[in-house]
Amino acid sequence: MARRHSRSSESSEDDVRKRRGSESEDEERDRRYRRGGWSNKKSSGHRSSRENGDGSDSGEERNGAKRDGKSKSRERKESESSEEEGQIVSKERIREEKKEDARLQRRHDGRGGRDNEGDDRDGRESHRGNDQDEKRGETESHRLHHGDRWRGGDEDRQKINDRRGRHDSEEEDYRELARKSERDRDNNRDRDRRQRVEKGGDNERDRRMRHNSEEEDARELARKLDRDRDRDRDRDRRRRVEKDGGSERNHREKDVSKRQEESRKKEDGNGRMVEDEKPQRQATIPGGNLNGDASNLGKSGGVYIPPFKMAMMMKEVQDKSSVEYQRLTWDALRKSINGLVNKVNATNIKNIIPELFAENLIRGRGLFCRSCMKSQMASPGFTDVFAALVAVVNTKFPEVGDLLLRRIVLQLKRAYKRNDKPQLLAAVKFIAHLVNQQAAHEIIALELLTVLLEKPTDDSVEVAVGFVTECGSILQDLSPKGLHGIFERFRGILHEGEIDKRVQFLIEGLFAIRKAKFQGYPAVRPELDLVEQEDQITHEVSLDEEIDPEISLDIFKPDPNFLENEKRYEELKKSMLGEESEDDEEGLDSESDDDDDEDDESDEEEEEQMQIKDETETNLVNLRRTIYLTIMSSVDFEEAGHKLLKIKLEPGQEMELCIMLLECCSQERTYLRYYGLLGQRFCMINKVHQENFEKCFVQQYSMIHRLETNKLRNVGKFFAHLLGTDALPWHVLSYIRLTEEDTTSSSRIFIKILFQELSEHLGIRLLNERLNDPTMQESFESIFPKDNPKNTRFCINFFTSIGLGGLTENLREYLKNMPRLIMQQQKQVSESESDDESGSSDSSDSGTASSDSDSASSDESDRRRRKRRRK
Amino acid sequence: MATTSVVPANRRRAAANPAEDMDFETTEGVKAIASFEEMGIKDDLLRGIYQYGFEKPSAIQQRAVTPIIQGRDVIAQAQSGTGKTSMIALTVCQVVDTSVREVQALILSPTRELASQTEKVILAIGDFINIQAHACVGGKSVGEDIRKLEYGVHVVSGTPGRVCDMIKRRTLRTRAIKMLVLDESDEMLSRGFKDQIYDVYRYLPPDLQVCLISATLPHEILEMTNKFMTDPVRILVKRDELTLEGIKQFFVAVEREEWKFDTLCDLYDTLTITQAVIFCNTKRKVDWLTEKMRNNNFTVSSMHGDMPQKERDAIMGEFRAGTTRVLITTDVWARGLDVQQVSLVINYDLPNNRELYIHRIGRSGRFGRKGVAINFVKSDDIKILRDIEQYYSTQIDEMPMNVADLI
Repeated sequence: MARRHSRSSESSEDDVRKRRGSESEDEERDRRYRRGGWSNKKSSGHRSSRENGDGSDSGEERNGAKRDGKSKSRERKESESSEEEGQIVSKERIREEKKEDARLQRRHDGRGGRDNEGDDRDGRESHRGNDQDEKRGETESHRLHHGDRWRGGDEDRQKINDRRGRHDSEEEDYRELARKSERDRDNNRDRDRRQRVEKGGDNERDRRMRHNSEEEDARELARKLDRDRDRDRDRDRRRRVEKDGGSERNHREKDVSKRQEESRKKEDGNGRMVEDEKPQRQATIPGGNLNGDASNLGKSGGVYIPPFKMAMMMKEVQDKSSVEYQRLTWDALRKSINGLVNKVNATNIKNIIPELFAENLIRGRGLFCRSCMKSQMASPGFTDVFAALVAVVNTKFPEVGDLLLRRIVLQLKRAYKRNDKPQLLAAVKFIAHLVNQQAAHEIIALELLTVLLEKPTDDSVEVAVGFVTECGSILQDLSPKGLHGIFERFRGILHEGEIDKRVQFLIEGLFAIRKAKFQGYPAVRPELDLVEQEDQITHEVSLDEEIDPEISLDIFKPDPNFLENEKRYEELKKSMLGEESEDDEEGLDSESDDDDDEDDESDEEEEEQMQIKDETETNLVNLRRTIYLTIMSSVDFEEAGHKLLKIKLEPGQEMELCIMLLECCSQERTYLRYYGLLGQRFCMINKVHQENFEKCFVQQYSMIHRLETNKLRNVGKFFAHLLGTDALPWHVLSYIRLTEEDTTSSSRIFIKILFQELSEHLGIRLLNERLNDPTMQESFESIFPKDNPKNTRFCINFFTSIGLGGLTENLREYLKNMPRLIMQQQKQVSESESDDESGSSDSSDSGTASSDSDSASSDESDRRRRKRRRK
Repeated sequence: MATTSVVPANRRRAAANPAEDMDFETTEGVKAIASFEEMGIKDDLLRGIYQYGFEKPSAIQQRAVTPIIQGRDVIAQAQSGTGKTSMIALTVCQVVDTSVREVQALILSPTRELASQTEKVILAIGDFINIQAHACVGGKSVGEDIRKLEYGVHVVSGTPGRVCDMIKRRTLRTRAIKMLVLDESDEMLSRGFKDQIYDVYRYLPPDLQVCLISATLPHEILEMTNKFMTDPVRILVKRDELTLEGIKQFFVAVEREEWKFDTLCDLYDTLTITQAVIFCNTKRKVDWLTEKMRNNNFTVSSMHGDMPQKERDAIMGEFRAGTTRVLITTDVWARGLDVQQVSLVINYDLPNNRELYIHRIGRSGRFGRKGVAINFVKSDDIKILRDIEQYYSTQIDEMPMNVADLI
């Protein structure tokens, strides 16, 4: 209590200090509330706090000039204190941040043309920041996806090392938590992406600190497009910083500069890729700006900014102070929590929960409660899913469950007083399902029913009937006498006959449900039964209590201990989600390259896993034998499929089915269609099997050199069958990189068989159409490489030699035009880039090329005119 | 600029109005009856109506149920999501004599999903009067249809092709049919279906009651009704009232095709969404987007015209039951289908004609609930969107920053 009180007093001081900064936001919010008529729904306490805010705003207007100076000096102090805190960061994080910094720096250089100064309203800036984080995360995941190109191998190794260290130090923690989080073990990519986003965020803070002192330089940088000049200015800036800073900072800067040089070298190697990316960014800037400006003129609050436009305005956010950074992370937290609550369902809740714990649920507990209540109000049909989500969170953060229950009870009381039936129905339903999950004590259910039925009206009885329908099953178990009393009251109401016919029908229906022992209305659906009874923490709230909803938790406040609290939550998160790293390692294994170090590490991991699995090895062997015998003894694929689906698989064992099927197929003397049809059936029946076969494809391809020729043929034909029938999505082909260095004789045979079989399945014309599908080009870049004429030629020769030369027509055209493209690039870099972007037909290409060759001038205004003309 | 361009359109519409008004308007004297009891509905049917979740009749139900029960020919137009299908079910259940085990009402719909949905609503509302209804649609077993019809049903809800086939086989006997309902009438009487409708109509008794129901009734359709309807009661909505106030419409200028997906994910972080329907124009794109969203941990169902009927039924079932929260589809799903909890429609691609736009955005905001429609607009799509805006005299703004607070 004392701590909370002191924190709240600090926060109130911060509020006063920060009042002016959020002035426009407050006004905007007031306008919104007034327009939407929301003020009626808010509590009087909230209203009074808003009135106070208005008063202080008007006060500050009078002293605007003085406060400007004060706030500037305060910002300076805050940035200094942030720097001090930054020094405390551990060495490991410094290392990671440097890497991140190098990457971001390179991206920053590339994005120079994107920077522009726009409207600097607070809300929009924070919104932009959020999108930047998400954009960066996606970009990073994309880069990792093509690991060879973007140093994926190094990062993978680094991660593995980090994880092993963590694993050793937390062995006891792992054993304690193994049972609890058994259900949370499912692996998923989104969490990886979000973690990367978090790292990006950390890095952004460092860059912002540096940029604070170089604000003017940054603005000048925004106007320059030329990369050489950017490099010069970077050097100048670095020199200036070295003079100003202390020795430690000098050291850090040197490391960063080394990294930058390394990345620049690699960038040269991938110059093609970088140059390809640039024209898109440049071309979009004018359109986006024009559209945004035009729309902004007529609207208050500004228009929604899609993520790609937000990324273009990234520069604006980098110049802000650390308090602004906190606000950015706050908005990102709110959006992440809201997104997860929007996605959650009975089938994916096990995936959503680890992602939710990856967010700071202590800082964001108000946001989580608000998002759950809002979603539940909008989707009463998913109340049981939301209640299950809250029940899981409640086991680890009981204060979150308690806060949510208090807010719902408060909402219920308000709705009852105002006779707001939809809101009352929603609140009552949420409480019913929290009682079902035993996050709320059943006393509140009986108390609520007593109040509703004390003076029956049509609406109150209807609400009561709905409530008993939802949680009658558990009340029957926990409090049969109480429930019996409620039903006697219903009977009395029915006999009085004062309510209308519809509600009488409802009561009769309820008696029928009770007679059927609430069949069809279980307390908790099996797939939502995620919490052990002894783990659950039950909260008691009475309808008579005075309830504090802690509304301040929903609003951003600067936190002087922000870094400390974030670090503390990070440690807490590791202890909760630590064993997820095991799943991560498995994921990485399946994506590893043919690298000796990787193989050694994966062998070690397998040993560790085998140690863990010793007790179940017998079960695994039995399972494999069962699968093998079923496959071999069945007459046709339908029988085999039926029998295999009857086998009870433990969670995580679905992969064994796919591996064994593939093993049986490869062992045959010749390929049998039986196996392809069986695999196809599994993929169609269940997405889990489809994903597992994707993993099998990746695994097989990464170890393809170990297979003998006969097995190669069988495996190749098997996967060709799955691809040809669309049982397997075609993006798995992105794992194949068709260059001389990246293939072995075995993998070339595999690719040959795969594509020959595909052309037999689909016909070469249809296969060509599929391979030129514009939405899939990202996946097919690795098979049809364009980064290097040597690789392009190799690919053309390969397909020609296996009799499928028709697939490479686009590639031949590209190779033919390549010398001209190179020449154009040397003359006019930006011109070539816009040509690449257009992706026009052959005749347009030749027309554009000829017009480019005609013009000798490289003047910028001419370039701009030409761009406008082309558009 | 915008103001100037609107004025000529207004003038043109004003010029056209007198002609339309003189020809077709809501019939005078149609009264609004404010409760189901006052309509003279049977008690057991009332019980079914209340159990289904209705409390009070919607505007179209207030006006159209009584004339239909009285046996008049009726043309009923109402916005999407205002209870047209349940009105059909209600009136059919009221009119049918359940002690006579013969087909007494025939409801024709343009799609199998819509016909099946109508059958389900009839069975739900008629739960307490022992109604027998059958969905007579293509893609299902002919033998099953024959068996069911010979068993004896009171109502048939079907698609024209299969219904005509059953009539010609004499499995569906028409002598007791008193009522014909054409759901989504403008589609049913358009070039594609008109011949089939005529084939069915030829077999029906001459004193048949005919009801036309749709959200969109173009002028040429209304002209056509003189040929087979007798002094119909017309309950019409002016074109500029067709877009609901309960559905807010926005567009997002995504500029490029490949940026739509990022925008879609960001919307999920920004809004509060119950269940959403996303419309694409091609089957390939439906499949692509489905895969991409599944990889992002959404629970997704998808549907397009190439799927076999059983698969389509299963997908509708899982989306309706809430097993999935996103449905990605082509326009096969755009008309009439009713999932109450859909709060958001996203036009990932803009529709190919103006009528489809109304039907698409009508998938949210069902029966008085609030809904949102968001259009993803590339640079060259903006003209199409403005055409739609002018045609329906509605307003489609660029989505504001604070959209989450407006909903």
